Amino acid sequence: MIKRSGQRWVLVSLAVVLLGLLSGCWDQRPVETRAAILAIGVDPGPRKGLLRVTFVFPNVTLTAGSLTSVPSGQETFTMTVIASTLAAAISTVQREQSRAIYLGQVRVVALSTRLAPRIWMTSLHDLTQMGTMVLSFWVVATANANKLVALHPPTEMVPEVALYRALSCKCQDLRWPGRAWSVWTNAVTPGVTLAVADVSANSTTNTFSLKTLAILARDGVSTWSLEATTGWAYLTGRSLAESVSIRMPSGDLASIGHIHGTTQLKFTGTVGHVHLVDTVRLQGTVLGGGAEMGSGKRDPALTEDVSRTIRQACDAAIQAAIDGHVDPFGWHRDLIWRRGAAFFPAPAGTISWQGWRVAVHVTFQIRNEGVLR
Amino acid sequence: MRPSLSPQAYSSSLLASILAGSLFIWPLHIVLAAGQNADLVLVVAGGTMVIWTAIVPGVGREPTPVAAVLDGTALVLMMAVDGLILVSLGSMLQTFYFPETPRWALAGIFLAVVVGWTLRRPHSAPILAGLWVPLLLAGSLAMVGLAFTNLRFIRVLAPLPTIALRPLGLGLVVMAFVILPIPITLRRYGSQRQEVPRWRDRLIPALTAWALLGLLYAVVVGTLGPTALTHLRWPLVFTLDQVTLDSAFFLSRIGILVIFAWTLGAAIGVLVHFDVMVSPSTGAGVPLWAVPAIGMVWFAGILLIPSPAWATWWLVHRVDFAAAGYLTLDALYSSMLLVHSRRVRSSLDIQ
Repeated sequence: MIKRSGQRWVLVSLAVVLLGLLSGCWDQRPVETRAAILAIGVDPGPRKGLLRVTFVFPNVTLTAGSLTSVPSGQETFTMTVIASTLAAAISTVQREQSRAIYLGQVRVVALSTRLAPRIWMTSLHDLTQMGTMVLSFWVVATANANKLVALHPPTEMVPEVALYRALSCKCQDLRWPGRAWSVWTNAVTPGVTLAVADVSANSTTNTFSLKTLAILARDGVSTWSLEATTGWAYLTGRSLAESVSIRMPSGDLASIGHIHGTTQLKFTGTVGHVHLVDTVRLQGTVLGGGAEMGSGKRDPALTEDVSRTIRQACDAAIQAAIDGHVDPFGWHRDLIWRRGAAFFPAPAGTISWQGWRVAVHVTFQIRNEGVLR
Repeated sequence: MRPSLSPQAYSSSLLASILAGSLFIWPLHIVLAAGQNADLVLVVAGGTMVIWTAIVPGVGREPTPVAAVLDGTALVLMMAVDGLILVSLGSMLQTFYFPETPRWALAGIFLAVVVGWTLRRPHSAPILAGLWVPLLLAGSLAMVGLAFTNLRFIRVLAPLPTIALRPLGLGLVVMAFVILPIPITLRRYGSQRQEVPRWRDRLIPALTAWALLGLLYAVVVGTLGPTALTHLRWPLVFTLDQVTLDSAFFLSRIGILVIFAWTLGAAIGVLVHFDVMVSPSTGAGVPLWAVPAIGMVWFAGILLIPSPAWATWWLVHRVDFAAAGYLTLDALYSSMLLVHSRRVRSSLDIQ
């Protein structure tokens, strides 16, 4: 009996010790004292070496019942701080907030195209090294980051970031790059140039548009043309639902849409003479236009025209890469990984297209659209 | 006389013993050591592990002085590996999930549970393993399946034609901490079973451990690429952290479930190691009070060891070399016994 009660005391004291150690005793924060950051915008600051960082928080006075009565634009509020780095800005905004900052719910981080590449890299590094951030948010480039993150489209009822949903919906023409973890992975990997979606904000209509790629070259962030961006999507197999308009012999415009497919890379050659063949296999459907298309027959001339348009876009992308000494396709990286680092004489971070010969083969098929459409 | 172990408890204990905690720092160090030949290390070391587990009869051996020294070395090294991994585990939990909780508090819960449980139910580890290990394994496979949706670089998983011998050898040495507990665990549980364990009861856990390590290697290297991987301390945790379901608020970070599940897996692995240590059939019969003593040493280590980098440096650059040496000697000794017993058996047949 004595032994039994002794054992019970051991158990009770063990439970007390365990309860004391459990994490809730150390870092519990009631949800009402938390401030979840939804979006972060980083712009150049008033002086060289300073950043203007905008943080977007959900409006905590909102309740499920008041959602419909709250005027548009008040679902969120913003705070702007000036700091030397993104990490410093986060600690500054914490000092100015009565509630504890929570970084696990960040949806979008917008970096200004006016920022130097070095600032981009340190900001990405800061975001990754924090550990408490879930790197599933989107990184985008924009001219004025504070304007973009403060946008609140009138259709948004709950405090949610519309841009995040637009990028995550898989309804875009192409699969945009920019999930934070893969952006960071590309940033630290030699042989690939960082590319993210360039978003432009329109404050008067409260809308944003998502059209071209922003490329982080050595001397600054450059924006690619629409054609080069489309070509990049074809060359990297990221085309989801691109469309092409072709003028038919009759003068009508035929529209080919839902263009998607795969790519295949083949490297040959020796050191200094790289021969790359990128085979792009695509398919799409006729969306409308052109009296000849009514029968649904596949027209070889039309297929040829579409292939030519696609090839032009691919050529534009390759030319833009060569002109800017960048490689957003990751071909240099692929080559390094295939042949070992010794094959790649340039130091990490620089891209040289010297000695490269790139051939692009495009095959395109028009699919019947089926009876459902 | 304790009851005989069921085949499931036997296999699960062996699997828990192999994978105890090692998953958290996998596969960073073999990539750092072997570079482009890391996949080859996985094939060679894993293959040796599986073949050896199948060949060696998993029963206790004669208590000779050599066997006692070998078993003692295995136990000391096993406890050192577990302690160093515990430091790393505490730091990982703190970095990713509990930034405001001190590391000693996180590891303290783990230690209190593991040591307390061993003191109260010293030989219940195989039963716990038999229940939890298959469940954890199924959950991990489901989560790794989800993580495969982020796979971007399949090409880097293919072996490179250039083989560098020194990195390859270093990579094999790094693998030693994973293989270290196999021989002694096999002997400890093999001697507890009434019949000699069937070869497939030994082979299945070794193959499962190999397959899981291979899958995790593929998912990490294929998602991050070999360069980005080397910038991270816990690349596997980083990779699984990105497994997200956008649809639901609370389920958005689903990948972390497997990290918490593995903390339970690590606890079961340490329970199995403690059970191996205090069992009378292996070693010099380590008394039960050694368990809280080791717990104290680990706790002191957690307070004193300044950083996880320091702990993994010791694991990879010191303990691993000792473990590789022990494994080689134990393999030689076991082969000698195996040849000797065959000779005795054939001479008996002649008579």
